[in-house]
Amino acid sequence: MLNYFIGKKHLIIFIFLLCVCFTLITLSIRSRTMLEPVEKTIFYFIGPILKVSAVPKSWGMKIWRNYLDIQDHRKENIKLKKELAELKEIEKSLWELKSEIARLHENLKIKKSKDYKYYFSRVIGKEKNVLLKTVTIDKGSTDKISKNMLAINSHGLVGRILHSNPFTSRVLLITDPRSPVHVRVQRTRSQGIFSMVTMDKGTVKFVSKDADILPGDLLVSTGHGGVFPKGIRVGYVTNIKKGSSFKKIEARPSVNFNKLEELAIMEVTKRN
Amino acid sequence: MTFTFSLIVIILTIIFQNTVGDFLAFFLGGKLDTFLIVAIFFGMNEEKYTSLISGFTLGILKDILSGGILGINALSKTITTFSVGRIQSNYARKDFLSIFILCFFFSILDKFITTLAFFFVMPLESITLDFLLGTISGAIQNAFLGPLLISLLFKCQTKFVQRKKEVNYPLR
Repeated sequence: MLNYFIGKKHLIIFIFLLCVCFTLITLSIRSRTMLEPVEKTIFYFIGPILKVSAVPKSWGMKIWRNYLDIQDHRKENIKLKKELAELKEIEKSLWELKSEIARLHENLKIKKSKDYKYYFSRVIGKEKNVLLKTVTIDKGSTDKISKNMLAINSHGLVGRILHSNPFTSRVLLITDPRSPVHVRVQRTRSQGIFSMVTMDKGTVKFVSKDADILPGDLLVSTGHGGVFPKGIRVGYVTNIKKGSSFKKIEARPSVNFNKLEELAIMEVTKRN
Repeated sequence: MTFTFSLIVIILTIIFQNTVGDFLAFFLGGKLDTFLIVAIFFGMNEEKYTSLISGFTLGILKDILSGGILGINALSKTITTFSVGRIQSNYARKDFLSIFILCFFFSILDKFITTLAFFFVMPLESITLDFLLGTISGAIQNAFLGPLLISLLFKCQTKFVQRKKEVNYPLR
C-alpha cells in the first residue's frame, strides 16, 4: 500500500498543491487579512526584482514617449512649414498689392483737366524688336480706346495708341526711333525734337546753338504736330555738347520703360 | 533540473513579464503570460516534483503581482504543469509546431480555469467581449513567443545544469 503511494508521489503532491490552492482561494475571499503577512513576505523578496525590472521598463517607456513626441513634432513641423509657405505667398501678394497701390496713387496724381479724358489700363504684353517698340494694354475699342490716343503715367509721356482691337490696344512707345516728340525746355522755352537712341538714352535735335540749356532741365511736349498735346513731361536733359550749327543735347526719358505696369490713356476732348 | 536553476528562471520570468510582457500588452492589447510559458517548460521536464512546485510558485507569484484572488493562478499553473508532464509522450519537445500548439491550447485552458475559478467565487460577474478578445490575443502571443522562450530555456538548461548520469539499459 505504502509502495503504491510512493509510486504515485507526484500525484499526491499535485493533489496536495490543489488543496493548498483551494484553501488560498477560500482564505483570500473570506479573510484576506490573514494572507497579508504571506503576501508581504513574498513582496519583501520579490520587491528588488520588481525594482530592477522597472528600470528597463521606464527606459523603454521614456524612449517610446520620446519617439511619439518626435512624431508629433515632425507632424507639427510639416504643418508649420506649410503654414509658413502659405504666409510667405500671402506676404508676396501683399507686397505686390502694396506696390500696385503705390503706383495707382501715383497715377491719381495725374492732373485732371476738362480738356482730357482718362482711361486707366494695365500693360499685358511687351514687344521689343528692331522695327517696333510697343506694349499691349488690356483696353480696346470697346472701352473707347482709339488710334493716336496718348498713353501716359505719373512720370510723363509713354507713347500713343498705334492701333486698337476690340479688347486690347497696342501702344507705340516714344522709345521707338520713329516716334519723335516735339519738345521744349520748360525753363527757357527752347525747342527741339526728342527721339530715343537706346532704351534709356535719347537726344534732342535741332536746338539752336545759342539756346540756354543746362543739364537737368525738364523737357515738355510743345503740342506741335497735333499728336502729343502741349505741356506733357517727356524727359530731362543729361548732357550738352556744342555742335557746328546745333547743340548736341543728350536726354533721358522721364518714364522708366522697364517698369511699365499701368497706363493712363488720355483722350483729348478739346485741342489747344 | 536543480532548485537554483528553477529559482533563476522564476526571477527572470518576473523581470521578463514586467518588461517585455507589459510592452507587448501596451502595443497588442492582450497580455503575454510568461508565467504560463515557463510553467509549460517546467512541465516538460522529467523531474515532476520540482516542476509541480515551480509551477505552483509561479502561479502564486502571478497572483500576488496581479493583486487578484490568491490561489487562482496557482491552481491553473499547477494544473498546467501537471498536464504537460502527463502528456509528455504525445509531443516532441524540440518541435516548434508542437510547442506552438501546446502553448496556444494551455493558454486557453489557463484562462478557462481561472475564469471558472473566478465565477466559482464571484458568480455575479459577466464575461465581456474585451475579455474574450484579450484572451485570444494573449493566447496568440503565448503561442508565438512560447516556442522561442522554451527552446532558449532548454538550451540554457543543457548548458548550465548537470543532468543525472544516464543509466545504461541492462542496469536501468
